[in-house]
Amino acid sequence: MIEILQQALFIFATWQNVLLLALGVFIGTFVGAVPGMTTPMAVALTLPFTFTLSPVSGILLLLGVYKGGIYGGSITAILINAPGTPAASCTVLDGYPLARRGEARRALDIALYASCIADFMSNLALILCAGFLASLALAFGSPEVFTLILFSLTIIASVSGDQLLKGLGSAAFGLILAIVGLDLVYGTNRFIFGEVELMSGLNFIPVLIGLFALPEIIAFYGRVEVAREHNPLAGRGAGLGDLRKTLKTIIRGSAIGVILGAIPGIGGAPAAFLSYSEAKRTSKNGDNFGNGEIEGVAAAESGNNGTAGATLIPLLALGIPGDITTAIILGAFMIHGLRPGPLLFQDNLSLIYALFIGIMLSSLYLFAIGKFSIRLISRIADIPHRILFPIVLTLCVFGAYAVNNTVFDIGVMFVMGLFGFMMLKLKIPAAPFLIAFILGPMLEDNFRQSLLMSRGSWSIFFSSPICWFFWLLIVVFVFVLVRRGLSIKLAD
Amino acid sequence: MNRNFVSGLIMLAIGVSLVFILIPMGIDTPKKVRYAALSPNYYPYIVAIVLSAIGGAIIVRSRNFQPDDDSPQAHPDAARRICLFLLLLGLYAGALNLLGFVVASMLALVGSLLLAGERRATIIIPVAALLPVVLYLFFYKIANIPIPLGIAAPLLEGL
Repeated sequence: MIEILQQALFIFATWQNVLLLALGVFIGTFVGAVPGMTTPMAVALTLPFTFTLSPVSGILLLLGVYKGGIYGGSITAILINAPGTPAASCTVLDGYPLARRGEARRALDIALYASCIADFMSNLALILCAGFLASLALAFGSPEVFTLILFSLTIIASVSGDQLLKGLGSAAFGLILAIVGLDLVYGTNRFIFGEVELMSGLNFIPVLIGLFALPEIIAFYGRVEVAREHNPLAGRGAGLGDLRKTLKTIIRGSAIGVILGAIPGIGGAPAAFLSYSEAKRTSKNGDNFGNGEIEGVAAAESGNNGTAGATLIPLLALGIPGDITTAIILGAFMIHGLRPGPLLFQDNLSLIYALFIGIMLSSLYLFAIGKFSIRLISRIADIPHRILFPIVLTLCVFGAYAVNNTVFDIGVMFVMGLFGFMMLKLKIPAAPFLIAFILGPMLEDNFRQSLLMSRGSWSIFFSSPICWFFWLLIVVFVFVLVRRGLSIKLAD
Repeated sequence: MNRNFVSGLIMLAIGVSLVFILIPMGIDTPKKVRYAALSPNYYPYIVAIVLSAIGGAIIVRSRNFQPDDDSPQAHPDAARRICLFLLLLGLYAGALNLLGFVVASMLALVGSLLLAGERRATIIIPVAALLPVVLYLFFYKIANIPIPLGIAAPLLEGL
């Protein structure tokens, strides 16, 4: 074992590896912070540069971009209400209200701490529990994922506040829009109306930017710009007190991220929402979630970043890529003549350990690069809105275009902006829409795949202990919700 | 205005139009589906019916609506400013292919900054001139994303 570790250290400890990993984290953080530039896009753009590098250097560069990108998405989510990546969409719920109060730096700091701790825990899980988590992940088939997503959707009741019915209506809008595109089972058209661009469905990024950033900009033109109220926390970073307050949430979110990240096809967004939901349910400040609660940012970011190392578990242990980014990284392995899976651990153990050393170092890089950049970028929130919002509009237009290289997506963004503005005026909460839009396709796909597997029998949704576990959680949550509603009614 | 009633009405209208018009017209279903639950329109119908029911419930409950003053900082000219901004968004979208992203964004920036109340040329000119060019350089040159350059193509490609 010690001999293998020595070999791994020998493979890793070159200036090239150390610098390329740092460069990767920097590129990922920067690109992730640009709305429309997603992490898979950044990893794909970096891939050609790895062809001439050694396998370890090339893969570390890509892993750096991947990890930086996951964190970078939170920056614009907090500063301008436009999530850089779908996984950062949960961060807008509390991050942007904090930035509006002048506490952007505090929110960015907590997002960074949560990201680094979750990333570190995820890396540890990858190194120490890859075998166990891979076997757990294999136990998750379509019915289990369906019940998991159904449970995640119960967060809609939490984020709707006192507007439960409107929140449910908003979620239904999200589910309807998520249906657009080709049918997964039969390949028939659904709400395409002859528009070829709609065949692959509505892209997350233009919809998210349209729903969150644009309504804020439109509403700004109907307001008088007033000086921000004095806030003693304005311009200050997060202190030890904030970290202590959120540590439990971060650790819980990291654990959720690790478990969900290990399941192929789940990704960071559901992990972020589930972590947020659990934090809201258990926090003393649960009622403040959605209005700028630091715990909300910590929960979303820890859930999101907790998946970063864990998504590599099915890739390295089983050779199964869990999402688009890991599929690209799988490509990089194969380009360098390596085939992830059990044989890789047998034949190239020292190389795997060299990658693990780099992955652990990436958490430190993330902290250093994040800390350095926050000082500068948190000032963006101080720019007067009459200058900032036109700039954000331009950034959103370029970002929405960049996702698919089509002006159609800009149209989608503008239409969603108008829809979001209408929701803002009618006080229909936008968060349930967002959650349903992101989780909706997963819910429907797994629902139908399960029924295909069971030949139409609904008993498949009760066929395993994991399904029963999530049904139980759903029943308990609904019971608590009804009881709370009744007690409020009685108190009135 | 009873915004709860309007919200409910919109949800009910969209839900009903989905059930009777949009789903039958917009979702192609195969002639033979082995299990009803696997049909492409099964799940959309469930969601549409739930949306209609929620809309109806909100309308019924809207009788208890208590109006609140939600816009204490409303601009005296709010409606006109919002309409002008929406018009600007429409023109911006139309100009993107016609003039190219860089020129359209420059014009949109000037328009939106002026409409927002910014009058200093020392802010408007640098922001409008530099930001679209910087974004073009990043997306077009570094990220290799083919941003439509429109009328400015000869000038920008030389950068």
